[in-house]
Amino acid sequence: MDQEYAGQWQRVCTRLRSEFGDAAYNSWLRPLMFERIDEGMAHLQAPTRFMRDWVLSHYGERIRAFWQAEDKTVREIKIAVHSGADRAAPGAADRNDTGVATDNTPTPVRAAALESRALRMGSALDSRYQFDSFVVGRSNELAYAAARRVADTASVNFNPLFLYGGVGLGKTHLMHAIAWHIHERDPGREVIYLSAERFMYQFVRALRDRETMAFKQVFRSADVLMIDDVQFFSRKDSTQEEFFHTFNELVDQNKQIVISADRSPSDLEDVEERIRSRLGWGLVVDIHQTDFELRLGILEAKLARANVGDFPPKVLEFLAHRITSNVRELEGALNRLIAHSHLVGRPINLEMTQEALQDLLRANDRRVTIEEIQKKVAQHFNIRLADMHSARRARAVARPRQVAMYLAKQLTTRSLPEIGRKFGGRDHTTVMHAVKRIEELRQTDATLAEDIDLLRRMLEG
Amino acid sequence: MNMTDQMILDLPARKTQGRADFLITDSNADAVAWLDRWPDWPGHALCLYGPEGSGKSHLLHWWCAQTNARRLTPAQLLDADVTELAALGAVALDNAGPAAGSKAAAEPLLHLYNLLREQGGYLLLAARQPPRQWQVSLPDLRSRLLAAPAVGIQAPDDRLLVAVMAKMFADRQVRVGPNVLSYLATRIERSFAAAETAVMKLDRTSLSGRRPITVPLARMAMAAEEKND
Repeated sequence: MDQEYAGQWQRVCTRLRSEFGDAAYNSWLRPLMFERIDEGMAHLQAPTRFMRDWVLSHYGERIRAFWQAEDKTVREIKIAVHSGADRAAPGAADRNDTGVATDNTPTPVRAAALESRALRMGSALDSRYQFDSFVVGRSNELAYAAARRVADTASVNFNPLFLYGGVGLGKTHLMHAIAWHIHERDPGREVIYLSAERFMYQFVRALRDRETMAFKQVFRSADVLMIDDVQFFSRKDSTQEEFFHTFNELVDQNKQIVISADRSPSDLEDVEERIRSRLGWGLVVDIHQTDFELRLGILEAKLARANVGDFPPKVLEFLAHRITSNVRELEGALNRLIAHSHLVGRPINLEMTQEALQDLLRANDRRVTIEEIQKKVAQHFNIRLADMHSARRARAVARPRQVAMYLAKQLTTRSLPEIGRKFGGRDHTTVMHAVKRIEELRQTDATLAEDIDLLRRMLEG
Repeated sequence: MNMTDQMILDLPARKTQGRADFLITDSNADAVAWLDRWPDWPGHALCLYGPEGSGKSHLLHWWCAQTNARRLTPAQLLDADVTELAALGAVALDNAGPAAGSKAAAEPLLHLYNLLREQGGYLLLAARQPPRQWQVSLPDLRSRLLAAPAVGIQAPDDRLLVAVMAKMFADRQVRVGPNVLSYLATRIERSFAAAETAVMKLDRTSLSGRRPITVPLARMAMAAEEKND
């Protein structure tokens, strides 16, 4: 019977797909999971509440109608939010056609070995964050080795492992990788990973609901406890106190603790002194800023996973060279670029990269002024600056002046009358004529078009 | 205001904010395409930036209606329970630049960002400047914002300027001819704010003088404005 229902659902899906198209289908309908049919009610599951509400309000009626066409007894559709213990990210593998869309949603899988309460307490693990997707370089090799050691051995060698470094350098990646690895190798071990903010929030809620005993029990029964970004434990004394007790108890029981922060233990000003010193007892590892080779390696690895076809090496080098702040921003830039290329339907090249990432690459929002344009254009065509304002009509000065007017119109928001005024008190119709003339010439005169592009790039910096 | 001017009540014009009321040109095509592409974004957050009056609110409004997202001001973010917000699944924040830069709002925003990501939700941030120029002092937030795609609405091209003014006049229930619009478009600064000022000025001049909006009237209104500058 279940087989038959599952077959019905398959056919409903096919009809939904042809009615709503691939994009909508992949985004919303493919992630649904058929559960059962019960007294005329078809039960489906969606990965998030948001997705459930969306599907119900936009597709609910059609799903019901299609199903009823398959099976008259089905009168209602119900969608539940599934707990996510046994399912990969929504359609993850299927969405490679958009290149980066696979990066979209973190997998709602938590280490399945956790009991239900721990499940609610922990943060979701991102399936992209595994050891084999972590690119190792000089700046992070020690942190990587330490994390592997924790994940590979059941015995505790250093407690806690304290990872620290600037934002976006891979601390969270390593912690998730530890959790995934242990879960795969030894599903019986209980791993709890959560952010410090989540720890605080859970604790406050436990206090409110008078469930502190249960709270303590969950955390103190972990085999491996990982808390991310402890710099957010700011001056909230009762949370720090609770954390400290949990910490001590786990250490006493010889259970592994992994902590991350954006600074070293001794620099955590908001954390109590006794906790700070305790955090530094184990192995403290610093993740340094990336170097060019590592950044390039990270981009290459990411491209290989994203399954993007031809990608000019020059662009990769450009990104690795220009976006040096951290890995998160570097990967963000690559994602943006790929998405932009899909969106506008243009291949990725250096020029397009500069255009698409303009806001990121340019340090300030410097506005180009008419005076700058006049100066640069005069230099470029080797005429005197005064000729921008003069009444001379010789072609050798008139054309560059028109180019400057054209650029002033394109690159500034000044009104035509104002541009005219800045060019020796000319009328706005003169400016209009110049703009039109240059637009025409650009189509036929390749040299002029190149000059203009060059000037434009110089001015926009 | 001199005595012969008719008193004008400053009634806010009723704006139409549907997707169909939004004119798409080169200046805003990218922004519209990114919103249209939702939920197929490379991450769960998107920053939308553009000058005042460029239609960010309109797009935000439209996106929220599409996604049942809650639309927030920075002040509302401060008052809200971030976990409850994140449970909504989609949130849009207006004036996100100042919010991200403020001491009080930066942490709630960071947590909202993280929670939405964890729970498969979406976050749309709107501001006048791209995130790179927001004064964000919380490094965790800054790097997240810079990693998110940002899409800008550029200064309007002439076609958009004309259309924007046509819509502004229509919102005020005023009918104007294309010659008036192109007259204005070639004379005002190429910005949404300038378009708004020009339309307001012209509407007032027309109302107070009880004259229809024509090119001569526009000339008069613009001349008055230049004198005031």
